[in-house]
Amino acid sequence: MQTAAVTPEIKDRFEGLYREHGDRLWRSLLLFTGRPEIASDAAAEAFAQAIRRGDQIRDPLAWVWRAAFKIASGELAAERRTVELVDEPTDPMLEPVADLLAALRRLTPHQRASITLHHHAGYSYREIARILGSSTSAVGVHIHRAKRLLRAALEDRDE
Amino acid sequence: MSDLHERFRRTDRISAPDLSEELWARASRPEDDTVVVLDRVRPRGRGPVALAAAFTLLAGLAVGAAMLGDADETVMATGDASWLTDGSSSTLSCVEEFTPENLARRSWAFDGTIIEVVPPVDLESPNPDEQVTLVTFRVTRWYTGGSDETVIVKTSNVPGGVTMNGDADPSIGARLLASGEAEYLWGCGFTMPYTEQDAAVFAAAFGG
Repeated sequence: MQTAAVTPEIKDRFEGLYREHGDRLWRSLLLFTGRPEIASDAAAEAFAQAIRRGDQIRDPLAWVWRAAFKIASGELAAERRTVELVDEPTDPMLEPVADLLAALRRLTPHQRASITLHHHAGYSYREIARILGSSTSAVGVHIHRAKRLLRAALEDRDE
Repeated sequence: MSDLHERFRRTDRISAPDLSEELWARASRPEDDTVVVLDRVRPRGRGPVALAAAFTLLAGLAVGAAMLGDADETVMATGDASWLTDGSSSTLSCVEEFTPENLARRSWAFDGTIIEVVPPVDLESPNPDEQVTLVTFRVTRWYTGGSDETVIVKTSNVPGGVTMNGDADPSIGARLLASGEAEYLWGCGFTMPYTEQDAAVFAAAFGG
């Protein structure tokens, strides 16, 4: 891959993108992975790879979201091979969403990514399909199933 | 469901870290293209939030790529789709014996690679659409009946490899010669693993 020079225009563009979307991306990755450190790593790495590509990317925002979820998915899978993931988040910072994170762990990666991108990031089915390299109808199925599973999981916890 | 929205909104109470310095530091490092991710390079030098060892990362990224798919990438080409090609994928498909002549009567046929499998929502559902598996293919060549780069077809067969703990479906990456009617993929010989010899049969059946 040819690395593009970081011009002032590219720097301005990505600084703006990070300011506007960085927090939302990080929180979405947190919901997807349940792990703040993976969310940080995937978000930073996706932006860094996009910056290196500069003008070679037609839609930097979509590219960053797609890369970040792919990187996070890979890191999650790598961790699953080496450590036993705990059911409950233990980081006090995650207390506001501890029940949601525990429920999300019951979903498949596709379901978790789809419902997070829809309910937290506010993307449409079509946009989610583009980010995940999937199809609109498949995203609809994932979200439908994810809602049902989440509702059941959260009701179990509330009882 | 409004409760679900509220639970997701609580995520905004968590402070996101400022990664601006980190991402620029990473962006300034030269890339090492031995570790392929997207189109797809990941630097070996890891920042302060570095995590897994390189070998586990490589394995994980490969699985992650398979799980999340990507229109720009080459998917793994070794998937096992025997759940789809063995036996019947539709009660209709076994009504006809596979012959090149019967193949030629199918309304669509292509050479494609599986990029996503969505198992049935509920086999007991009164909604027939929730009882089928959706299989998304990236099409290498249409023999007849379409022109799209990707296509979703339905099958009443159920994959055995998808699990709730997030493992990738083993049929992702399988290259098949597929054919069928309407939205349904046909089994019983009308869909088979790709070989050059069988691809020639498909091509000949559709005049190619």
